[in-house]
Amino acid sequence: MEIGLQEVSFAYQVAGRQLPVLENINLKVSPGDFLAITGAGGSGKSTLAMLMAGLLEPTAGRVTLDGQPARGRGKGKGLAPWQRVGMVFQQPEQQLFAETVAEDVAFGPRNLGLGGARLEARVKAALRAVGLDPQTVGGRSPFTLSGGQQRRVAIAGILAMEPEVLILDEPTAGLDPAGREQVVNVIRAFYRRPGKAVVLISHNMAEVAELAREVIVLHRGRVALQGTPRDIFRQGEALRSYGLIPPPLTSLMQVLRRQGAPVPLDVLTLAEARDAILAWLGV
Amino acid sequence: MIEVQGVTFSYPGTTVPALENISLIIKPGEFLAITGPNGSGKSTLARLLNGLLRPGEGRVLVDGLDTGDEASLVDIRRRVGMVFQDPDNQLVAATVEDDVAFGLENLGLPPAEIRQRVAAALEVVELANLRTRPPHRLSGGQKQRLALAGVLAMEPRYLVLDEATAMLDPVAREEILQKVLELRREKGLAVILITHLMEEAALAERVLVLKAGQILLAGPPAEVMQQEEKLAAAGLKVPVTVALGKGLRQAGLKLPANLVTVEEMARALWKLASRK
Repeated sequence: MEIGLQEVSFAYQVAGRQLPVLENINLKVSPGDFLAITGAGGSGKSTLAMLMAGLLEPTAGRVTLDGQPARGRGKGKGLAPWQRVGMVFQQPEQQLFAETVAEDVAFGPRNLGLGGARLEARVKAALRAVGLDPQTVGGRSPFTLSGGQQRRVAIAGILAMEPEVLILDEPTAGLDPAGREQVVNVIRAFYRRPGKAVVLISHNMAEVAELAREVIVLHRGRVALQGTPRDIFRQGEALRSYGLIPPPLTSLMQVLRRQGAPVPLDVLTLAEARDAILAWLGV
Repeated sequence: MIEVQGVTFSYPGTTVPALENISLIIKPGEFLAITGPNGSGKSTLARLLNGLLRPGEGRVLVDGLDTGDEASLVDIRRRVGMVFQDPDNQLVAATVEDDVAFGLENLGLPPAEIRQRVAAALEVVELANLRTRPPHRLSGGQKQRLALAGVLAMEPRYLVLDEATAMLDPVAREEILQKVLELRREKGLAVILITHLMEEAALAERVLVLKAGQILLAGPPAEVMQQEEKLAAAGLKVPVTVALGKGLRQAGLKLPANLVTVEEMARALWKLASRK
């Protein structure tokens, strides 16, 4: 499944006035892609995610699925192509509602018409995919779980629909380091499967550095920067004007470089930072 | 001064206490970070500080006022302001300025003072230009600033930020924290920052680490952040600068062990460079 956006703009109507949110966005997500969309609060990230998931329709321009123009979900020719695009909203655990974890996860695939053993198999596979044991957790109330577990249940609900493209809006925000790592592992495992693509909306630059192959930086509704994580971090201080702060290691390199040390700016890992510093100090 | 004296707290219907025998003193004007994994009791402790929750055992005194004393609660909540992670639950009015005025009107202040305080608070959080906007048309970061303005307008002596910046982008997070720390310098506001970002906790004067309802570690960040194993066992990570420092020391650099922030690390590295 390939999602394409061509010259897409979007505006909200507020009290009779147009409030532009996105302007002239062009992008494509194909199988095997891992795209991170980042930018300041209010830069249009979440709106872009909703457009890519068919939950909003553009005010101008067009959205295509496998090259075919696509109306929003539930409009035009029905749901079918959009079923292959899964969207995990911000703090999705707030939308858990069923009495048991298994029922919550079953809700989506049941709406697709699945039932009986096939439905049960889907639910179990989805729970295992997020690192939860269907036997011990499936029958519990979601509200007895920790925040991190609840979030993984919500993600399992989307995985149970077997999407080809998974769009996640700030999936680790508000989680502690252990919970964060578990969610990151779920995303990684999904991405490793053949034919899958991930779109990650995040302002956590360490996470973007760690996961994404391609990064888009939005600024006031437009694409300000696009490239690999290394390309983006090489921008140094310019990132700040887009509401972003590079991960601490990159910040350290920027400070050292500003003060005259010949160290690279596009450092992504602890080992790279250590080696760069040792090389500078001649150790 | 806020005094937490031997406090144990359990939520109804649970057998394991959310907090167990916690004692703690928060001084006026202090900058304290409280950290710990999800479920460690951070938010419970925050809610005990202004009487949103009352201790099962022990007591909490705010400038001598007992949170267990119903008659003191209004006064206590004026002294201890609180901003939560999810601002939607805190926003009530039809416009930004009405929202800030809401709490003040309940205090029965004269209209001129209300107007002046609203304007000042919106200035601090840089929302003055959006004062007639309906709150639900603000971005997440703007809503969070609005919630902060509503609390600041009450002129509290203690400000509790309970993961209040978790949903914000990094620059907005830094800006809000800077604003708050500015107020601390100018007005002696105490700041109690609940966070599981160790990089953020490292900015405080004192860090308290909770694990399973108990105090695991307490002290200045440079000391607490050295306890890598204890922190890891609690599901927390040391700041990446601390991990880098360890790697560099293992590679033979003579770096002190108490480097926590990027600035401290940069300074120490230049010191080494200048000796060459």
